[in-house]
Amino acid sequence: MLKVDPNRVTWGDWAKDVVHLDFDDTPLGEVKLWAFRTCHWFNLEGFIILRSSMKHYVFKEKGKVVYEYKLGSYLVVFDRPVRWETNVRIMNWVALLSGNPNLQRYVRMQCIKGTSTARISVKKGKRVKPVPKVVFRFERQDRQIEKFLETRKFILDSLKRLKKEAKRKKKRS
Amino acid sequence: MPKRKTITKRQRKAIRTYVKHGLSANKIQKKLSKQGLGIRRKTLLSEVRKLKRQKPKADRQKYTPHKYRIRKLKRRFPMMEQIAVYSTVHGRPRRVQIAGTRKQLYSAMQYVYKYPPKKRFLTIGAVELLKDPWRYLDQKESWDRHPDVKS
Repeated sequence: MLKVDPNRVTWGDWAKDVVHLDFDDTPLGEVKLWAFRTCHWFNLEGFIILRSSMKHYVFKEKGKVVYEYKLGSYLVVFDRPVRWETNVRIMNWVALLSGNPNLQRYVRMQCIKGTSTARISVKKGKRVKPVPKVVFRFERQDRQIEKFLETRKFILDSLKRLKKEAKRKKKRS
Repeated sequence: MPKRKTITKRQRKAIRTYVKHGLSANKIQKKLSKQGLGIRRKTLLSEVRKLKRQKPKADRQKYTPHKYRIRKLKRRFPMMEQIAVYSTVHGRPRRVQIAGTRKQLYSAMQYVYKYPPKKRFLTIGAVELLKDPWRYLDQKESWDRHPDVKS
C-alpha cells in the first residue's frame, strides 16, 4: 500500500442546496456587505463567514516600507436550503453586482461542476492555505450551516485519524 | 395562581452579607442549609453573580460534567454527508465527490486520498465505491506532491 499524507489532496464540502460564495483577495468589510445584501435580498435567514487565508502586501521604496495592507480570502455559507436553480441565480447575482473577478471565476466553475463547493482542509499549492476558520456569524445557524459545520468537524477529525494511522504504519515498517 | 418565589427575603439578605465577607458560593450554600434556609444551587449562583456583577462563562457546556450534560436525541437514520476531494495528477485537476454515512465515508476516504479517480470528475456514493474501488480509482497513479489547484 502507498504511504501518502492525507493533506496532499484538498478536502471540501459539496452540495447543491447550500449557497457558498468564495471571495478571494477581498477586505472583510466588503465581504460582510455582500453577505448582508444577499441574505436580505433572497431571504437566506443567516450566514457565516470563514477566513480561508490572508495576504500581506508591502510596498517598499529605498528599503523603507511606504504602504502596507492585508487582504483575506473568505468563504460565505448561507443557512436556508435552496434549489440548484435558485443557488445559481444567487451566486450569479452577487458575482455580477459585486464585479469581483475572482468570485465570477468561482461561480463559473461551480456552474460547470453542477455543485457548489467550499474548502474545509489545508490547501497545498504554490501558497499553503490553512484550514478556514469562522470569523463572523449572523442570525439563523441551525440548518445548512449546522450541517456544514458538522461535515467540517467530521472531515478534520477523520484527517487527524488518517494521519495517526499513517504514522503508525511508518513506524512499523 | 401567584408565581412561586424561588428565593425569600431572608435568603437574599443572608447571601448579600456572605458575599460581602468574601465567601465562596459553596460555603454560602452550606451555611444557608445549616440555618434552615436551603436554596437551589442554580438560584444561588445567579444571585451571587448578580451581586458580584459577573456574567456566566461563555462556553457553559465545557464546564458541565459529562453525566449532567443534556444529550442530543439520537437520530433515527444515520446522517448523510457529502465530501469532495480534489487535487492534480500530472498538473491536471481531478476531483471525486462522495456521499454516504460517516462510517462509509471514512472507509472510502482511506482509498481516495491515496489513489486518484480514473475519470477527471467522479460523483459517486460511498457504498458503490467501496464495493469495487479499482473500477473507479487508478491504482497505478497517485496525486501530485505539489499540486496547483485552482478552485
